Amino acid sequence: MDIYCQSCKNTNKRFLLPIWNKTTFKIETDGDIKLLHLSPLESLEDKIADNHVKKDIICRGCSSNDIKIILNEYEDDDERNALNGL
Amino acid sequence: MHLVCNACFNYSYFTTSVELVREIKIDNGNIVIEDSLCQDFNFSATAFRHLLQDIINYVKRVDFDAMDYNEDSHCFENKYISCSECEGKMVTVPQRKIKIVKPESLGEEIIENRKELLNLRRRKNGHLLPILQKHK
Repeated sequence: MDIYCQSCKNTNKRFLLPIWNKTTFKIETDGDIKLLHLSPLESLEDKIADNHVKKDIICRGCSSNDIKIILNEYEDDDERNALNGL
Repeated sequence: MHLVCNACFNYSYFTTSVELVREIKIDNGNIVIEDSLCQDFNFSATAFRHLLQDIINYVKRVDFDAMDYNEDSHCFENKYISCSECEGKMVTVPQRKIKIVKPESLGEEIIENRKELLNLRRRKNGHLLPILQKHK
């Protein structure tokens, strides 16, 4: 798997991905907040693989969301043709 | 007391949804997810705490605008924060923050606060008053 930023050519590192989480917290009497629990509401794998939410991933270097994700770098035309043949 | 659940009167433990920003990188074809760090600064944790504080401050400020009417339960529910103890959503700002006994008219309130106004004027304009000097 590879990730490319098509704006600044950043590859495979420094990419930011926001994920919704459910958090339980305690409000102290003086207004301070204590975090007690954190659980993800979204699947990270789905978010990376899903085309609709790919634009949520942003490059940390240039803040662009023009990201290209190649999920399987070994998949070439021969393999695809062989699978189509089956 | 900043927020209160109107079902179980819990005012400490609440639950909400917040976006957490993580950093992803690919190491030998595998995805590695970690906190986003800038030297000693943890961006993921700081942004998360700020977002959580923003949600709490927003709910405290807009108060009733953060509520939505639920037709099934026939009551208003908070759209953002729920109670961790009873899982209810009737979370509001404590209404007793408003002073219940108020002077009836503006005039009464002004007379009641007359001394405070005089103190303010003394602080503001006291140095402009003529100074009385004692005769020797």
